[in-house]
Amino acid sequence: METPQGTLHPLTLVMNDMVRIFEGLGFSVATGPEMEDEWHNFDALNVPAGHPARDMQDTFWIRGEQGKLLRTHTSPVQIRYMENHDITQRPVAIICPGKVFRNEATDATHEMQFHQMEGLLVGENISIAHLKGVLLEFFKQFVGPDTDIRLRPSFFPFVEPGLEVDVKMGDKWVEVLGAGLVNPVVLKNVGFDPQKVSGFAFGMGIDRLATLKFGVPDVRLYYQGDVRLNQF
Amino acid sequence: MKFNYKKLQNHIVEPLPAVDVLKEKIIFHAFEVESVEDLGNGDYELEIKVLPDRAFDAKDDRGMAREIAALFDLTLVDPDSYDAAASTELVFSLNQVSTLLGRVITTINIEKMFNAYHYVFSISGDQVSLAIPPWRSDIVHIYDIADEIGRYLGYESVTPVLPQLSASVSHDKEFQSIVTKKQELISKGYHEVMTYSLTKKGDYQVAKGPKGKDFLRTNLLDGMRIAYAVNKQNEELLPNASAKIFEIGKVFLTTGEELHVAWIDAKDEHEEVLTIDETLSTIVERVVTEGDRVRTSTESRFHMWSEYPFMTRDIAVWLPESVSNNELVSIIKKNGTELLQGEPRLFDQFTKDGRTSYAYRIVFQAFDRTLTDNEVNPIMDMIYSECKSNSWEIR
Repeated sequence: METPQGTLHPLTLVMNDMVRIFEGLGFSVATGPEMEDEWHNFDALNVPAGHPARDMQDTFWIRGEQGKLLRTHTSPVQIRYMENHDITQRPVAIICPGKVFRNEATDATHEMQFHQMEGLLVGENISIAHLKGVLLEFFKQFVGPDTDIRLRPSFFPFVEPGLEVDVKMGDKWVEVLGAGLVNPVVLKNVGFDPQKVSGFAFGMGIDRLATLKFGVPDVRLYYQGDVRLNQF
Repeated sequence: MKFNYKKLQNHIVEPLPAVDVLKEKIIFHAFEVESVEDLGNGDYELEIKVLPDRAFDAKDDRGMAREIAALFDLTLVDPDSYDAAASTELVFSLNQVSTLLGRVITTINIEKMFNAYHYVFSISGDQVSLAIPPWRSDIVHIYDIADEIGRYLGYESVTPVLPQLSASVSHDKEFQSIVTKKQELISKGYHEVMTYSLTKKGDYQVAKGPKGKDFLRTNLLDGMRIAYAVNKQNEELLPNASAKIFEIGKVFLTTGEELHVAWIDAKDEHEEVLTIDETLSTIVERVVTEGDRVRTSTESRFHMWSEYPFMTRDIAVWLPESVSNNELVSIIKKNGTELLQGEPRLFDQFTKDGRTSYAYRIVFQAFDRTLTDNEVNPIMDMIYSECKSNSWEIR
């Protein structure tokens, strides 16, 4: 008898679906280490030591390893990618899906590990209009053609302007991601010339999107290894 | 930060707009308003999350009133003024700000906004010179100007533009290898799981981590074995009634971080470093198949499982050649009540003397209690009697 197919984890299904949409828009996948250093996770992203934003993300520091930590977001992948990229040759257009860690109390909506997808586009004359174009197209394909997005002012040290993006799901607006134009300090940190290029970045929680999509009642269910989760 | 509606009013000549209007405008043009509490007598307390870069100028009633006055074109009781000559000058081009925002910013836009905030400025052709007011030392470069103008005009005024990027993408090989390996393992019937990276022992420990779970895992199998035991118990409830699992994930050794793949089934367990296939082309059209889309595009909703034990019953029935086993399945489903879990599973089938024997396993479970034979037996009796009334022989 033929072996029946196994099943993928719902987070993999959602991640693959996101990759499918973004690769259709011209974005390539980049990856990076889960154990990071302070430079890539914080300093290069315009979050120097003592900056209040460091406290916004409860960090797992590695004991006895100076400056080593579990990455608190997938943003260090964009730094690593840009550091090794010749921007004069072609634009940066990447997405970085991956696991991230926060040292915080867990409950139905908080887990100490979860997945994020970072997006980054850097090139000549990249604007907020492009950010809106990419995100709107992504959500039209991910949620449905009738969806819409709206941007609100916010603050993240690695972008300026910093934005919060709400997505229309059914008749409700849901806060789904943070975004903005790449802060020129970050561009300089990776050796790009802010006079010549600009870019946008965004980051969204894959676990949260999966929860919104499927209605999983507790984010901790994703990491119990229970196959009853694999319903799709 | 808490702000009081009547106290804000004290700083503004004209009557403030209604609190809902005020809230909406602040949210889309300045700060998140986390809550509004009705204090009675036309007064309200607004909880406003002042952004870190505005912590200086919007830290008190007067500061917030300045923001509100500018957004609503109202007049401050005590208007701002400052010594422009003693201020830092920021020169920027309208064209550059327009490029960053992706919409045209005119001198009219600049004049209206800067006048609303009582800024001292001059415009010459494309160049704007702003004397940065002492309370806005956070405005340093042109990106800060883009931030100010963008939020003042509102981001709904920016028309989305899809950038035209190269159609061929270039994924890194690690990601491609993960996708490929997952496809290979599910084709062999394994179910994917994800377990915790933090565990009770390992080579690296995190500071101030959760007690008993503050080491980084050095392998996948330790966590997976616990998961496998649970899945084995629930095997009848799982897809294909199979507890075969795999995981792909990072482990952390003194020699460095490694990407592993591991799997467990009834006969075997195995863990190895995931081979990154260097022969994969980095330029690909698509790495994710349309099949993934089909599964997630449906209106699928997650169904939480019951924490109570389940019960199984097997039934084997001889069906004449002319009868499809689907008829038997529909009889089981029709009589199964809400206690029936999933599809009846065909586990044996053979044909003899023009008849076929079909054996199904049926799973019963309740959401709020442990089932007893007294509840399940009558359901089986109903199924048996309907089979008999069709003259089908129960084995």
